[in-house]
Amino acid sequence: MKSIDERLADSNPVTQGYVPAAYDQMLTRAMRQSRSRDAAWTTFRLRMAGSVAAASALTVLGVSALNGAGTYLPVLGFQASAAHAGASPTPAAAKSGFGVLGGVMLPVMLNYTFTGAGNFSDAPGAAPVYTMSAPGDLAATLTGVIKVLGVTLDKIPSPATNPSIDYVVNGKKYFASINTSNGSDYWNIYTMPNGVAGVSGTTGAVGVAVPPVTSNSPAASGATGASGATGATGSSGSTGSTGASGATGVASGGASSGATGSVGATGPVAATGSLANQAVGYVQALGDTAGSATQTTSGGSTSITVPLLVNGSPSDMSDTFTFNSDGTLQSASGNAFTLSEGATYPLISAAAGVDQINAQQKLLRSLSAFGGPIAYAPVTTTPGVASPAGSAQSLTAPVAVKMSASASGASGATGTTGTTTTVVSGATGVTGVNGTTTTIAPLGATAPVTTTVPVTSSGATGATGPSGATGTTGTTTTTSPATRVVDLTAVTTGYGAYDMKSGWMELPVYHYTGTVVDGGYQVSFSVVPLAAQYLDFAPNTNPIPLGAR
Amino acid sequence: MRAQRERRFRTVADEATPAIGAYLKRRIYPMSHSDVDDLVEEVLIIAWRRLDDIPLGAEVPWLIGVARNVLRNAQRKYRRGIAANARMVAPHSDPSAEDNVIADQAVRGALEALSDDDRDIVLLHAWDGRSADEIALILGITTNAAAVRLSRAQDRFRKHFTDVPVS
Repeated sequence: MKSIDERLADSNPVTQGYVPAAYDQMLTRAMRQSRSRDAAWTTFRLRMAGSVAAASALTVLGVSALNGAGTYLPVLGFQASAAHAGASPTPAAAKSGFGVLGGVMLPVMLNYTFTGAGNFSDAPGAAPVYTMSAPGDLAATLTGVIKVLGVTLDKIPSPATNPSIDYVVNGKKYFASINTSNGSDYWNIYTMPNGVAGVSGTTGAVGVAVPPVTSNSPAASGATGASGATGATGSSGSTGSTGASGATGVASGGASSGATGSVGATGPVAATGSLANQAVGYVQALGDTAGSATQTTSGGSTSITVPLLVNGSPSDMSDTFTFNSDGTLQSASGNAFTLSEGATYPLISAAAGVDQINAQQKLLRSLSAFGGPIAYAPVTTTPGVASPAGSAQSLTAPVAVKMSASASGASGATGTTGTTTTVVSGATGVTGVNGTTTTIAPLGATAPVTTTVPVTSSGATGATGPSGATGTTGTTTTTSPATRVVDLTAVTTGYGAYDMKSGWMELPVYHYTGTVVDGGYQVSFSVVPLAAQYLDFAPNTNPIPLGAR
Repeated sequence: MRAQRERRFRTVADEATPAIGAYLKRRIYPMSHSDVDDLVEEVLIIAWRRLDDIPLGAEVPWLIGVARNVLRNAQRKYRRGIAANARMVAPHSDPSAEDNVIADQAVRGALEALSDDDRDIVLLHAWDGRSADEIALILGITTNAAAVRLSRAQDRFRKHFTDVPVS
């Protein structure tokens, strides 16, 4: 006889994994969707930068003195994104217990400690900031890109707002689009799934008449010109991709075999050879500085990714070129932008940046506890009446940093209910006993008459007892989640794009990577290490919470 | 950068799509089975847009959590549509009843007796094969809470189970 659990499992109406019929097309359509900038991650990075403002003034002054930066550098203010300003969490998301830390979703209710500062330099530095602007004319930008790529534009979009156009090159149909995003124009071209028929050849021109011969003989008529050759037939459409193999059937009475997974793409390796040179050449021709290209190979096509450098360091932008096995361009995407170098700012050291990650993590967690600016799930379930916990206040920044000042501390947990004291009511009075029976012998009577004295009425109700003492207020209990250690082992410097009050800017960034010690998985964190007095976080935004949509 | 992103997306999609599709197909009723592909695609679009948010090593449960919300939205929309069109169109003929019947009467009865939340968590474990850790991620609760809720829901399921032996 089967157990209840076995019978429940047996009732599963779908025992095999389900793969949609047009899976590849589905993936392609999904990847054509524009992706919104991750608001929570962006905000976290801003807050990371904000926490830098909590660094000691001594350090900051030391940095300034070392670098001779002076005190007259303009303060950089972060711009509130219109798309996210005032956004409130959705109910579903508010229930989420996870937050993004460094692009990896971690349970925010856990208490992380970041170690590894000793692995990094404690020398402060300095780096310039850059303002970044996108070209104003999208059509002209796209025209310039395809000229560099050596393709011919069939149609040029005249309106300059988010054009998506088709154009033809080498008998294949391409799709192209361009739009402005995060301070640059992001362009993208790729082949359509199927080729299109080529154009027919034109008919030859009618021949001209032969000029009359200057003799007595009659002039001969000119021969009719030959018809033009018929144009070549266009290339056929490409063959559709082979359908996925069916999943392996369930063996009778045995466990089902899993379907074979698809062959993955090769991991990125340093790109060399003619295709790499071609891709780097494209980037340089587009006016950008190319970093070390990497390539991946998948299904006969080769993708070359060329990171774009800012001030000689990797930025968060890159251009990608994918080539067919015959070397023709299959697709390309990249960024068009203009950088203007601004002032050089002092930076805190890489070791000090780890302290800021710790401080920021605590701030994130405490802010998330009871509906602070970051609306994640509470650490405890019920807001209490106790005084706010001190962790947020301990991060209160200098006056210039309004972000931290606005953070409320976490409320304390609900106190335990006071001891209940049972109120004792007054005891009910004792019921009176029956009166005694008295026999009265009437005079002269022969027989005694018995008279019964009525029963005495019940006794009076006792007085109400005193009320119980009010219970003492319960002690406030703060839940301290278990500590998990994240050991940071590497740091790289680079640049990242931020939406600032004065427009988009590329700011210096420290990128840390490490491992969650008891989890075994790798995480990464970024810090904008500009010194405190040069950053203003006043318009910090309410992020869109994470988790399921 | 885009190529790396696409590569990760394909890896995530290859791993998660069979589980997402099966999850949706098990619960698609009263919508049509032909709607499953649309919902899977909607989940994949969200996966593409939120790729940076998907936790490493927990891609499948995270996306099942997304699928759960996508399905709820779709079913709300479907019910509103049915209510609006009730007097105007013939009843939907798809899916067939057989597709949605749980043959084991005792199992069906016990599941029907559970609350929606209990049924959700019991089936995530029994049908979708999700552990308490994964259920925690799907439902947005702590692992401890998920384990406790799963245990209690299973207890209630067993209590409601009126034994009809199946050999």
